[in-house]
Formats: sequence, C-alpha cells, structure tokens
Amino acid sequence: MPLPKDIMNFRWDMANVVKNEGHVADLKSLLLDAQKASDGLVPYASLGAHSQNDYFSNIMINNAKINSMQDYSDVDASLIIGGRYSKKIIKTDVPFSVAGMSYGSVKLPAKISMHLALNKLAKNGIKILMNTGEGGALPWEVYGAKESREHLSKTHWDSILEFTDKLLRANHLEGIDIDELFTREYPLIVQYASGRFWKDPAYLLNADGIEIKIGQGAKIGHGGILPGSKVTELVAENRGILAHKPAHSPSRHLDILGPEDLVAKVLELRELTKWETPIIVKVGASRIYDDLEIILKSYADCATVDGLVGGTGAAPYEVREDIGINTIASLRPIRDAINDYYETHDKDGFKLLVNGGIWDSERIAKTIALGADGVGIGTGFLLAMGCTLIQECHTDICPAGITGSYEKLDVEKSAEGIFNYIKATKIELQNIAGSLGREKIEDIEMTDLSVNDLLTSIISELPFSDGTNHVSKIQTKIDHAINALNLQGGKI
Amino acid sequence: MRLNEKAVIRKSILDLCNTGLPRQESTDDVIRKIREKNGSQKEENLWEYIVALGAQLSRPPFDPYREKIKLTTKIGRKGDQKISLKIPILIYGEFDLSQSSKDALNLTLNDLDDDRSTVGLISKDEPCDERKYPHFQILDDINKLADPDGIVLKYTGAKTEEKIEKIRKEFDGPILVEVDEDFSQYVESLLELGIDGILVNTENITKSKRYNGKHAIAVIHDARLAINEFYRGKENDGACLVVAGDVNNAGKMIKAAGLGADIIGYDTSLLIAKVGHHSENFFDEEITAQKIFNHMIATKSELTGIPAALGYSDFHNMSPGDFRTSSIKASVQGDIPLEGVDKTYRNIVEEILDEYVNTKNISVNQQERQKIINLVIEEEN
Repeated sequence: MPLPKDIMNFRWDMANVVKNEGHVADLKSLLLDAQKASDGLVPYASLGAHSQNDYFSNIMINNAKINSMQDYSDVDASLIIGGRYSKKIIKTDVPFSVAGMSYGSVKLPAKISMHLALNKLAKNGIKILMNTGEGGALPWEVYGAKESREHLSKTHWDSILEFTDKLLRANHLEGIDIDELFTREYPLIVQYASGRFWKDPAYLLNADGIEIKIGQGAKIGHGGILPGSKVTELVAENRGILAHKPAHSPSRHLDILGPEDLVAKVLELRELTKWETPIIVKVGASRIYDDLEIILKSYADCATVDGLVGGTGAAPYEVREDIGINTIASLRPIRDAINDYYETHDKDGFKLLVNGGIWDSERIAKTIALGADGVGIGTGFLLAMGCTLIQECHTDICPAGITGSYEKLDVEKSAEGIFNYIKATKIELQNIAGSLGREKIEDIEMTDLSVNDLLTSIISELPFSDGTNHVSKIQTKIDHAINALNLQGGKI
Repeated sequence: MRLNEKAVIRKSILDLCNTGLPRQESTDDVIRKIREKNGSQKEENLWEYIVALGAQLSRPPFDPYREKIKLTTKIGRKGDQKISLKIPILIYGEFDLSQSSKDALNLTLNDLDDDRSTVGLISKDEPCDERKYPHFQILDDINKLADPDGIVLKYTGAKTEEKIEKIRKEFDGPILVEVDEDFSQYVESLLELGIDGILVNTENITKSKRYNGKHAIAVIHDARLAINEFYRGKENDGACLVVAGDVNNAGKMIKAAGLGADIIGYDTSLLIAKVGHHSENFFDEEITAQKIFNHMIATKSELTGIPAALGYSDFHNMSPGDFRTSSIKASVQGDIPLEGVDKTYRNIVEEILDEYVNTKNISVNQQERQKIINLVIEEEN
C-alpha cells in the first residue's frame, strides 16, 4: 500500500528538525521512524538486503569471455541433484534454477509467465529447475505431469479444474489453453516450510524434489510472513488458510529443533516418497559451518544456502538488513564443512546450491568456482518480467504488476523475457567455461579467479591477479612496519 | 545490492532479456568500472557493515509472536535501590523541547508504564510529580537536587568525584556519569566510588581529538572494556553501560547491545515530540503522545524480534560473538570477527606476524610485537 501523505510529511518535518540541529538527516531511517510513529508496527521490506559489500564485483574470472565469436555450445552446463540417498535424480540443462517465489508473494500472471517460459525452454532443449517457494504450488504445478492425473477421481479432477478456472478468471487469463497449462515439462522442487502451506498431499508426492526450508537469507531465524493485504480469497484457498489475514510461518519448524529432529524429518519424507525423491535442506547463511555439518549428516541429498542479499516477498526491515552473512563470505566455511566431512566419508554425490545476489552468468560461474554445484536466482527472474527494483513487493504498489497492484502483467512478454534471459545466460556460461578451456561449467575452479582487494582475498582465499594473496600483502605491511620501527637490529 | 547499483543491475539483465544474446560486459564489469571512476567508497557508517548471526539448525530460534522475549533491565548496583526498565531505553538527547512537547512526552511515558513497557527519561528538568516512569535528573548543581529516581552527572574532572561523594550522602538511588573521551583513564576510580554506570554519548565523543575519524562502535567497545577491566577478578555487581548518540534505530541498538551496551540513550522519541510541535498544524498533545507511543511499541517489537531470531530469549544475552563484519575498519574498531573467517583482522595479522618472525628468525619482544601489529592494522583503519 502506498505510504500516506501524512507519513511522508512527518518524515520531512523530522528531517528539517534534524538539519536545524546541525545533523545529517538519514532519510530512509526517518521514513521508517515516521511509519512506526503512524501505526506502531514493525516496518517491513522486500527483495534483498542493501549489503554494502557483497564482494562479487571484487572478484574477476581471469581471461574468461562472456561473449565470444567461437561456438562453445558443446560445453556441458548440466546439473544433477539427488542420488545420494534418493532413487531418482533431477537432471537440468543449466546449473541455475528459479528460486522459491510462491503464489501470493508474486501474483498469478507472474507465476504463469514463469511456467510457460520454462515449458517453452524445455521444448527447446533447456530444462531448468523451478522451486515453488513456501506458499504451496498451483494446480498445474502439482498435476502438470500426465501420470499424476491418472489416479484422480473425476470429482477430484473437476474440483481442480474449477479452482483453476476461478484463478484464471480472476486474473483475466481465461484465454489460456488448459491442456497447455496442465503440462509441466520442467522439474519442480516443492518447499516444506514451517508454515506447511498446502492442503493436498500430492504437493509432496508429485514433486521432483522436496526442499525442507529451515531459513532464508532475508529473514534468518524469523520465519515468514505474507501480509494480509496479499492474502486474497484465492491465495487463501490455495494455501488452505484464512483470507485477508497475514500468513505467518513460525520462526522454526515445530518438530525440528535440532540435528536429530532434522534426521527424523528427512527420514519421514523418505518413507513418504519411498526413498525416490531427492531431498534438499535450505538454510540462510549464518552459522553456516555448523548448519552445513548437520545437513551433511542428515540423509539429505543436497543443501541450499541463501546469502544475506537473498530476496524475500516480505521481511521486517531490520531483520532483512542485519541478520546473516554475504554469499561469498559463506562459501569458505561451506567448503571447510564439506571437506572436513569427506575426510572421513566416501564421496557420495552430495550437492550444494547457493542463492543470494546472483543474477548473471559471471556471478554463477564465480559461485560455482568457489564450491557450489548450482545456484538459485530470484531477483533476476523478476527483472526479466519488468521489475523496477523499488523493493515494495510486500505492499500493493508494484509498478510492474508482478507482486501486487492493479497493474496488469503482460504474460506473453514476460515469458519471452524469461526465455531470453535463461537462453542467453546459458550461452554466456558456456562462453566463460569454453574460453577457459573447460568442457563443463562445473570444471571452473578457484584458480580461474582473482581479486582486487585485501578483504575479498581474506574472505574468499583467492589471490590477486599478480599472484600475491592476503598473506603476502600483510607480510609486506609487516616488513614496512618493522622498517619503520627500525627493528632490523633484532634479526637473529 | 547497493542502492546506487540497482540501475546497473537492471539494465544489464534487461539486455539479456531483450536480445536473448550474450552481453559485452557482465554486471560486475560495469560495477567495477563505475567504482574505479568514482574512487573507493568511504566506509563511514560502519553500522551498515555489521551483521548478526541468526539461529537455525545448530541453535533453534525463538518465536517472538508466541514466546516471551525478555527486555527487562535494572539500573543500580545495590539490591534495594535498583530501577527496573521493561525496555532497555532511557530517553535522552539534546533536543530542546517546548512545554507542550514535554507534556506529550510525559503522557506517553506514563502510558508506556501502564502498557508494561516502562522506559526511563534523562532530563535537566525537575521530575513530574505524577510520573509512573523513572526519571534521571541531569544535575549540574547539586543544590538543585529535586526528587528524581536517578541522577546523571556530567564528568568535569576531579571535581566530579567530590560531587559523587557529596550526593551519595543524601541520595540512595542510581547515579550515572556521562563521561568524555578520556573515560578509559578514570572509569575505574568512578566505579570504585560507587556510581551505578557510565553514559557514553558516541556522537560527542567521536568528535573529540582522541576518537577523531573513529566510529561509535570504537567508543562502545572501549567503554565496555573499561568496565570489564574494573571487574577483573571481582564479582560483577552490575554497573551498567548506557550508550547514547548514534544508536537511533533498532538495528544500531541491537548491535550496540551486542558490543556491550546495557541500555540505550534514545533520542528519536524526543525528535517525534519536537516535530509534533514543529508541524504547521495545531499542536495536539494527544496525537503527539500517540505517535511517540506507537513508535516505542514498534521499536519494542523490533528489539524482541532480533534476539529471538538469534536464538535468545533475553535481549541482554547477545554478545560480540553473535556479530560479524564485512569491513576491516569495523573489525579493527569494534574487535568484531570478519564474516566467513570468524577471526578479527587483528587476529589474522597476529597469526601472519608470528609465522613471519619465525620463518625469518626475527626476534621481537611483546612490546615491539604490539607496535608492529598496531602499525599494520592502523593502515587499514
């Protein structure tokens, strides 16, 4: 909802007083104060934190080209998840996925745009993974595979079609072909979050993968919330909750309080899916060495780690800004946890997905070189649909009509944007790997990277482009200090 | 993402979406060029480079909606004279308020007490008779002692100690001393005299010569160190650290608490009271009071929400170990570990120095070692 004029005026009045007292007014902070004074509520925010230092642009991929005259289309960009404990695997043609963005946090036309684009890509030979987010799945996501509908009774199927019709009519999308809509050619991961926002067990049984969401980068330790203004009748019906009331997911799963509970939950889902479906555990990047150590021992196939800049549909402003560490900073303790685990265990196909502040090929390649097997992208897909980055997804003023407002999203154009985004990103990734002489994206290594500042070198363990590293840089400083203090005489 | 880099990111992604073809430059290439052109960004607001570690699998978070998160704090070292605050906030600042603004503030503070959200007030004024909240009187002249619940003295050299001794003879309640930039030299002797805590105004102290170029986090860190030093080998009887100045939002308050603040000296309530009067509209005491009340209740929710997300049921259980930084400067000034490596920049330099002198067979004594480390880290500070 747009901020009322009196809040804006109050902010300016406060700013004037602050200036008159001879101080610098922090307008963003004063706006939050004006909001709090107006309604007595915690201010919310959306998308990712305004991290002052995410390190990504301080890292270079040495001698790589994203645009090349040479054809590198034979570079293998595939990603496999599962098989560590699950009988089935998910194989995609790109090492990046659509990060969890649920119906409710984004509007139906945006969900349909992504669905249609991913189907079109699959038909063109690019299978990409989609994550439902924690708000449940839409009917065509759950029953998109033909075999998933075979056992349904007519009454059940009719009720699904009836709800689908309601959804499409409410969004003026009656023209969409139902058969085409109920075709899902891409793999789907469903989230098992603390809110348990689904009402049909098929949500879990028909998925290609299940992700137990413990936390996310934007609101670690806080759970989730969908503001009441976005819980429409249809969103509520899809989630099985009350309309127009905020949908809170608790800060923790009521039955997962520690490592043993996680093992029990993974095994419960394994039994439910007959050990067939890959199971992933998602956490925000925080006490990441310890958390990853627990996930590695939990019978999961894969972990997803979401860095500080990872987006959200809604989070308390201060929680989004102040809790969690940056994606790049998380990768060193992650590598340590994985290496330490496999010192005493045989390699078994455990996979790592990383999200947060990753939106183009170079950032994907850097993250993979630093230890990830694949990445999740959220904001990039919103941009492909026309997002203007005003970061008001938690309100009803999205100018692009993606998250909430009366603005109409052009489904066809959005799907085209997503199609191009994925296609071009795949080519860029192949160009990067190909120009480095690699046959697979996963072969890009830390030795292909360099940094341009001391802190990034410390955080990432990467060298500078001249071959020096943070240790030699600090040694040089020590040398200068010893000279300045005239301590050479102390040499033994 | 940084606010000023949003346009670059959007344009870069739209290039891909519009053409379906590889770009000439990546987002990071463009960002790097802009940064090179504009010079490196000065890390001025170090609060923005500090983050807390949230709780997940290795420690479960609390649920602030369903579980009680304790904010209560007490001021006073002697058992029978302690003042209790339900929110660890003393309203304090340098805004000059009109009588109507003061009335609105008084109304709010009483309402907050009724709401079990008691905060205190530090003010030069005489305490109101009908107050329900604790009032700390700033006492310039000890002959003007009214009937406050606590006293704040500004440190003015050796005379302050005489003042404390005199006041103690007729006043049993908590005494806080607002210190200047040289606090580390005299905090111990003040605490020996039996004061109940110190108040550091980070905004004033960072303007001093001693703290020139340093941030509020350096002041908080040093003040906590000075108090801890006093308690070395003694039983801690609860002398408190009140931090005021650049701590005017919930994020900064949480970080200040993590670095060692027990109570926050908070001026935003005074700003709201003053703006209520500043408005072109007719000043309405009740509306202004309601705004101050709303603001404090929202702040209270923020102050419970973040410790809960860190896995604490008590605001005061947060410690420096719960925080990390993405700035060498912040690591040096606040002794905060760098994110991802869990060591401070000082620790890293120490390790490299020890290895270096061993390899090179250089003999340095403890004093020289400290000098080298200080020189190296000052370069990045």
